[in-house]
Amino acid sequence: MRALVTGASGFLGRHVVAALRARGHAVRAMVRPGTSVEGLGWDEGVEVLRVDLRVEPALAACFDDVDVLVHLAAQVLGSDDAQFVSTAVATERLLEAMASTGTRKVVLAGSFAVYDWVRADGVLDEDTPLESSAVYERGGYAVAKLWQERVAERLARANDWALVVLRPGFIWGEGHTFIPGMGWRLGPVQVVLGLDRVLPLTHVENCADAFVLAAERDVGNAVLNVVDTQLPTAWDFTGEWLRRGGIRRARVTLPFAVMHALARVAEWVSRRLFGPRGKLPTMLMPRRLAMFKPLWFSNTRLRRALGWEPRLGLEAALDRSFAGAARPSTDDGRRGG
Amino acid sequence: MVGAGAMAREHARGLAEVPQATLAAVCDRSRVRAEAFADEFAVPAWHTDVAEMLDAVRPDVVHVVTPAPTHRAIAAMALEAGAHVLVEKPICPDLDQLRALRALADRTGKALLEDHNYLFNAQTRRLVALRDSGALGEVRRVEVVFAVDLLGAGSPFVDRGAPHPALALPGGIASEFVTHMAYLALAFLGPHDAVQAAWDRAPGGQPGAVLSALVQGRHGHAVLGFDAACAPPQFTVRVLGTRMRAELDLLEPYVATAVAAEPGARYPLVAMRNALGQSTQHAAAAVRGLWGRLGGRRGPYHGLTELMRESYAALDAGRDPPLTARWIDDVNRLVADLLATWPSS
Repeated sequence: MRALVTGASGFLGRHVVAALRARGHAVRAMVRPGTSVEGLGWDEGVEVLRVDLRVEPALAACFDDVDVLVHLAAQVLGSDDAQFVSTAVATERLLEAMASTGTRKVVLAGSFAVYDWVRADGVLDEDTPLESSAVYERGGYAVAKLWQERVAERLARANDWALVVLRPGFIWGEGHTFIPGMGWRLGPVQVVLGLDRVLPLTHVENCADAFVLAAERDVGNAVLNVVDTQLPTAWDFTGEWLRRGGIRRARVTLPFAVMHALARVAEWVSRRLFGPRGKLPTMLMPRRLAMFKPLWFSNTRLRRALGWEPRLGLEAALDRSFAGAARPSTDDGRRGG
Repeated sequence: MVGAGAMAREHARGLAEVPQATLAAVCDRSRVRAEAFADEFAVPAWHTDVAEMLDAVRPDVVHVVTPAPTHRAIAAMALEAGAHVLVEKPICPDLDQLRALRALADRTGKALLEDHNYLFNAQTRRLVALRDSGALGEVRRVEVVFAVDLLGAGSPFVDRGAPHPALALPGGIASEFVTHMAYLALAFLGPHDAVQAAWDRAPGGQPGAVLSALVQGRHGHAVLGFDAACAPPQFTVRVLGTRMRAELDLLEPYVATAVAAEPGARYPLVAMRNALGQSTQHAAAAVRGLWGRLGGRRGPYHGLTELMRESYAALDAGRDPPLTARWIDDVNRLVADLLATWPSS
């Protein structure tokens, strides 16, 4: 099998390329011009293609002899508009080019960000409703990922392609151990929202395996969530992150119900004072806060459809991720989940 | 609306507050971008072809909010289709193209407007009112500083894969912002006579990241300073008159003034009065700014709403819009003179 992998030098991408090569597949790895691929350990079975999906005029040529597109490219930094162009518009350009080629299968990296977390009840799974027009309150990343899926579905339907959308939870691993879902830093204190709240994590190597299986197996059209089987609570994971990362910071918990009540009061006050125009601080916005509510996460459908099992359990994943972490991993920057 | 990017969203948010306006359609080369914009702002139609949209919608006004190199052609199409046109700055890359567009607008009897949004911000208007009332005295010097970090991660000015179109134009990064500086200077200085300027690149090599210019007017001069690698951000106008010095911050809602010492006045008391006065104004503005943010006011872009509100009201009543052809031409003449000092040109 020959796979075209976009976003190939990204955190997930480099692991997907490695996993595809480990199973003997040929890989055409698409990276942005100027990206260094030295040190990624790619062998001669990886053909590097330096292409920018936003501007490249001849994208169809990238699909020569390609059996499956594994589309991971997205942008999580920059303005809302920059994220939309690099994620949704880039996908539209790539798939419109694919329509004139012989490639007939797409494996797309979706995101948990597309779900309507306010309406999620008890368990968040593939049946949870997706965001609708309220998504614009959620910020650029959620908007871009939702429209990326919509454009992929439209073009897959129009061209009768097989489309497998894998929606990972928070992808983590070495160098990427800070999970935005843990909570917030307030000076010397790490505030963890909810003591028993489970984090929808997937270790990058486990996640990469799921993408390889989705590329290999004939499952028709499918949408599958990717989370590991052993999921830690935000409290426990934060503890491991502080301890193993050598970060000296106190860990305190704030019950979700308290935060939720605070947000409700703030919303009421805002409405009374400013009407519908009122704006709340990000952490008090109901749609943002909902991503911290206590839920369970299921990978049943993924395991049934692809026969996937996480290669690394939680303890092994922690050992692997913090193995080189004499240096503290404080990469508290934004990442998609 | 032609274009569905970040500035188009600002136009759409402003239009929602203009009673005469209904956003009838949006057009973007990318279907998904046009569709998402239409979904976000409840626009009834989206298109990917300008001519097709003009034909289908027959709009009264067309907003051109696309990359600068495409402005002229789209504005011309809209004027030919019988629409008034509001174009994002810079309206055209050179004066000849602007003159041709102006001639077309005159022939079709339609307005050709450029977005001079900061002129309509409440702070700017307060400062203009101070000038008009004579409180400033005679304006001798205007200083406009636009110093913002435009080169951070994710910025289109550092994006090598899809370089910002401005990087290939005379003026580089500054070409995107020099119109703002030009109209803010001219608002207090009047038409200019001559220009001197020096340019520099950013540490990363991006062209037009630094501009220092001296603009000579008939009774005073303006100093323009642009820097694309500054933090914390600053966008200020300072006007030095013979009776008062006044400064406005376009990123925060304040105007601070300091009264000049009068002949015979005791200087320590004037200094103390100025210090107390300015501190009070800054503190009040900080509270007003926070209140405005919590209240969902549109922040630095609120002038765009006012510009559109007044322009639509005037066009609807058959009056001349607030930005006259002569004003827009004066501003663009200064922009052209500034860009003529660009070393590569």
